[in-house]
Amino acid sequence: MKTLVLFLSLIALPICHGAPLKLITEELPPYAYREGGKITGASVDIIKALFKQANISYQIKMFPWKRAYETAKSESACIFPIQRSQEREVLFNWISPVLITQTAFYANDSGDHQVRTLTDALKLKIGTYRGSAVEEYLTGQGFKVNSVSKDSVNANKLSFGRIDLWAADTLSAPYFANKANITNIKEALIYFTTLRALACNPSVPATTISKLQDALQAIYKSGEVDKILAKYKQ
Amino acid sequence: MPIKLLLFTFFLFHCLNLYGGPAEAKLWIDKEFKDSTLSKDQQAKEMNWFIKAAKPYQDITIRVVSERIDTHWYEANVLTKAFTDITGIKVVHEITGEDDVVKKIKTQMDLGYNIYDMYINDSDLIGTHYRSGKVVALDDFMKGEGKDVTLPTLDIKDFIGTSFTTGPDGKLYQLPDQQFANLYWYRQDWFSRPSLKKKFKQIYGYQLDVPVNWSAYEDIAEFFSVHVKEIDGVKVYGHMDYGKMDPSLGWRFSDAWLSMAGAGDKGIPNGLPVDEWGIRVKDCHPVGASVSRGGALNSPAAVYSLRKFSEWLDKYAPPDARAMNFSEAGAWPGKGQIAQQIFWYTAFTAALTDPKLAVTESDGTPKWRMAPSPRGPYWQDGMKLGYQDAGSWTMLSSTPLKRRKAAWLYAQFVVSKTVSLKKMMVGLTPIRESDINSQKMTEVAHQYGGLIEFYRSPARKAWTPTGTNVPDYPALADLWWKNAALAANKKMSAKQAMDKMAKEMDERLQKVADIGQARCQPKLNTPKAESFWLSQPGSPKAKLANEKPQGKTQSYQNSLKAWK
Repeated sequence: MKTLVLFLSLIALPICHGAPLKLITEELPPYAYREGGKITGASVDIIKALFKQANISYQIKMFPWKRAYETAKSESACIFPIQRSQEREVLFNWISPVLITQTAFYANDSGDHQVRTLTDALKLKIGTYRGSAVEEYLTGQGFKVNSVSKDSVNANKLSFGRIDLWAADTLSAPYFANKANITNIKEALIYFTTLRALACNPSVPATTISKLQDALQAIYKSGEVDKILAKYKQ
Repeated sequence: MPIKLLLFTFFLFHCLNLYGGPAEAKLWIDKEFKDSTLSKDQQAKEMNWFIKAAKPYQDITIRVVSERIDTHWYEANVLTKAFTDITGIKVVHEITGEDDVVKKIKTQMDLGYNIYDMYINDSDLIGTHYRSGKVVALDDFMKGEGKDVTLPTLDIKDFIGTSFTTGPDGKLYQLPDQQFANLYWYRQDWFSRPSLKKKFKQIYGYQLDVPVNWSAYEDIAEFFSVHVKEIDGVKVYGHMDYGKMDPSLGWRFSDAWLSMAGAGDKGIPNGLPVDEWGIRVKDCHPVGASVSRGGALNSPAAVYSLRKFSEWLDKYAPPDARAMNFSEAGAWPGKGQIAQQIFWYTAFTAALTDPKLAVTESDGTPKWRMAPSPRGPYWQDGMKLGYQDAGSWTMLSSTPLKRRKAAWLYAQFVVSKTVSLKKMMVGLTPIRESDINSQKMTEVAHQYGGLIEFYRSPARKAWTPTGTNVPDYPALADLWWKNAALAANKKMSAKQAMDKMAKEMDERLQKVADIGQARCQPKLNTPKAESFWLSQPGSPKAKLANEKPQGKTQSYQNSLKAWK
């Protein structure tokens, strides 16, 4: 598929001197998205609060996932909000968790599938977003999934009964459903919790990593993260 | 008919929201929990207790997490349903990698943010939990605020792993949910072939059999990889391991590899004052890991253990093994090309009894056996000889009390005598003495290549998890894979890698002390000349003049007798 490499950048005012740290994210509403020419979203707001607390200057760019991931692997940059996994552990230094997210199965209101555990969904037609951690988890457990390149498509597919379940993030799914005015879907089972992180290329100085990790604890303990997330849960 | 009845009941529960009751308990006992050390009446009584105790908590959904092994899949997909049907409490049991479980529990401990209501967390973190002040001591909970939700028939003394989950203060901090060991694995059918036995004797001067020491393991590895090379037209190897730079390489070492070489002190479940991480404690305070501070992490025995790991991987394992991780390497013994493996997790037992594999007879009877791990030249009687994983229920004080109480009911349900024997048969990860000694296990023991014999023997006590010397497991554990990989991938010698790791371990211990712990935090010794510590009795031990004594083997039967 032809990919339009769209990116907008948001240059935050440097809080201190020196080159700003390059931060990369992907379009992942409501965690990161473009609105009125600006990059915004729940994880972007947390990152802003984090860097303010750590007093480190930064610059946020938005790339498609693959480019974002490859850039963070090869340049002195950090990527967020990325799922921390055993396979990725060796590639980055981690500031974690930037977000604690949950994944659920969503069902059509008129469906009669009883999903009490993960394996209850094994034989059902499940819609996922291609290349996502949600999809990786399910295929890793032997699930066959119906993969699409835009998660918003799954909301429509579920609404029209073309899939039995939609496996999606618990903030993203209502966001997409609301945007498309879909009201006939419901949460069936929240089956997985994920720690999402800010992952930095090993060339980012250890002192920066340490400062950011300390700052992250501070904004969690002060309740700032909860306040930010509450805005997006409404 | 019972299936129809079950489906009807299932329909009733969901359509009418009628959860919990003796009838549902009876259905599950009759259908799923037929194998139990309790009589049906006793099972029904135990379940009636759960039904009554659960009443105040039926309005909540609890969330727990564990690693990805068969036992936990059974809990997540079957036992959660049984528990909900019987008690009315809904439960989501998430499954993920052990690395992720550790990161999540660490996050909840650091941030005080309730992610899960209870964790099934390896008892390797007992030293962390005891010192953190953020984990509820179950002894206190059972006598105090959790008294009304503590199962009268729990029978803590029946659990075989409580010494692993008890803190230095004598209190129980975690309750074992599943256990598996790391043993020696070998192809008994190949080891029994007269032609191979004769050839081995000709070359090495002793019998091809179960190796008692690392010298014999090394000889057997060389024998199959260099001299035999091929069996029945298939390329064979005398050793299997993995060396990819990946967190799973860390388990290969922190799971007791140094203790098998003999690096630590005597003491069960863990060496004292120096354990198998090479960390010395004084009055419960860690005082250092490097030899200069009285530790053993860069001692001659530790360096020897890393050198042998790397050397055997190089000379005797399949060529790709160096680039594999734990999961990739785990599939190899089943392919029928590996003669022996010194470091093999019994959690793979069920997977290796698949009749379709090259290592089983057509009825699934194994062609292989598990036996006690061979020991390195620094090992002495009274020391631990291997690793045992004890995934254990862990409760954090940051979880609201009502949720803790409901989760504690689920935790006890999945280890209750009504359920535990069936769970053991599914996952082969025993936790109760009564299950291990049951008639049912006697009937099926021959199917599992020595697993039941191991667990019935007192020798199992020498296979133990990481102990209480390690003050903050999540903060220290990554040093193992980051440094072992340097030697495994020839970027450093074993000595250089262990020197670097010992220095970094001391620095991390100091950082743990600087952040502070509720009790027994590290207090590092002032460095002294290594010769001072190496000349003291016990660990760290001076370099042996001969690290390869005569190889020694024994018959499989004798290796079992040694366990009696």
